[in-house]
Amino acid sequence: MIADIDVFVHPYAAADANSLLHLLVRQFGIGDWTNFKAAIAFCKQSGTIQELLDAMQAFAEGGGEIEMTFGADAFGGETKGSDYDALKTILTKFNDYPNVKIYLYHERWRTFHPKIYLFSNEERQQALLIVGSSNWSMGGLVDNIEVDVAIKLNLTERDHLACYNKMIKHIHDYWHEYQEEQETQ
Amino acid sequence: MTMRDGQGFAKLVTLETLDSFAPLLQKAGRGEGTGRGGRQRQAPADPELEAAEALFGGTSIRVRRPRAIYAPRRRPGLGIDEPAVTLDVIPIGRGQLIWRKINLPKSDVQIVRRQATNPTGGVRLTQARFTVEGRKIDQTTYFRNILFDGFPWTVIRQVPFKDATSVRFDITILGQPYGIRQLQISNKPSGEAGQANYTSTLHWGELGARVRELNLVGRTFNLYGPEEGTTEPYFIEIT
Repeated sequence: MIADIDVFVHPYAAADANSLLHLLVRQFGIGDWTNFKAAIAFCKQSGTIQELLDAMQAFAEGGGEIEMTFGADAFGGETKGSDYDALKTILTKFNDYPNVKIYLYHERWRTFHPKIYLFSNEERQQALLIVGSSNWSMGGLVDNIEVDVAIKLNLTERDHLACYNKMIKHIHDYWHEYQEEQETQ
Repeated sequence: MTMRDGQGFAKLVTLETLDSFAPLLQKAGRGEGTGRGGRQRQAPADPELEAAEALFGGTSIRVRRPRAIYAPRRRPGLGIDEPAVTLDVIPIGRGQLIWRKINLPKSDVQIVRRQATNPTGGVRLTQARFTVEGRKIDQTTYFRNILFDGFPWTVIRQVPFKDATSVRFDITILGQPYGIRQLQISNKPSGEAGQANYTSTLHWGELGARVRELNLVGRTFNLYGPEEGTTEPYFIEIT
């Protein structure tokens, strides 16, 4: 069980089976959450880790909603951000799951660079916000030198709720496909 | 409710639509992404990439940074009081050098008309022997279709055709900062005439009189891209 606020320093945490990968797999499986949202700069094929995808699939099959936004930045020339193959792997895995939505973000001259992972259960008024440097890759989730902070949010507390709402608003308003009728207040 | 600035840049992707986004994604066998900011659009136009980019739309949010105030200065010998300039950004960093013109001619730095605020004079954006990745730029497309194509262009004359846009530049001349100025860039494709003449001009606008006073003939005009992760300002440094 993680503390109310905790920091994960990779790869050292991985040596203790406490990497962000481990954390994500655990959180998908513990039954506390109903929603998972993520906004991640890069999605790499190395991040399509079987254990993680399987945990996500089990979460989705249990009715959990998954919404993830990855950056589709074209930096010029041959170098780009997210992997086509990684997207294809994820989309193939969840092609039959309407409760799993994947978005791509592309804005010319602006890099999509967040690394945010957010579990929530609004009915229980709880959330878990993970913010750090980890991209969706084996390096980001396990091997690289990365730092992530995990914050438990108690949505009955005003400041926690404000933080949560602010994060949700930005995700919905800017990092999901614009739908006029789905504007958050 | 209409789309706000910053919206419209995310698209739902499915297995069926993935290929339409493919030009924006890294393909197997190429280098890993480095996370560098998108300021390196100097490759030739790629229709497939442009088509993928066109799937996204919206108005970018303009960023603001802490306020800076430059106190008025009197320039010895010139009798000119430079007005206090209140900026809404502090120039923190700049992007890569994207163009350079050495040995500025009179026509680029002298404002002929008496009304200095009339934005007719400016720097001709020519090839100037500038190279990108070892190749000389094509000045007929480099400025209009590559560097500044992300800005809204307005047709200001049909025959002969001329369009223009307005871009914010952080300007430094001979070591002195002149703050952030909105300058017009005009483009006249009819200027080609098969002679590889200049087609774009960066107009000095309100800085015209000052540029003339400084007598910048023979100086070097350096144009830098915006700081990584931002869309403006661009940077002009005349040395």
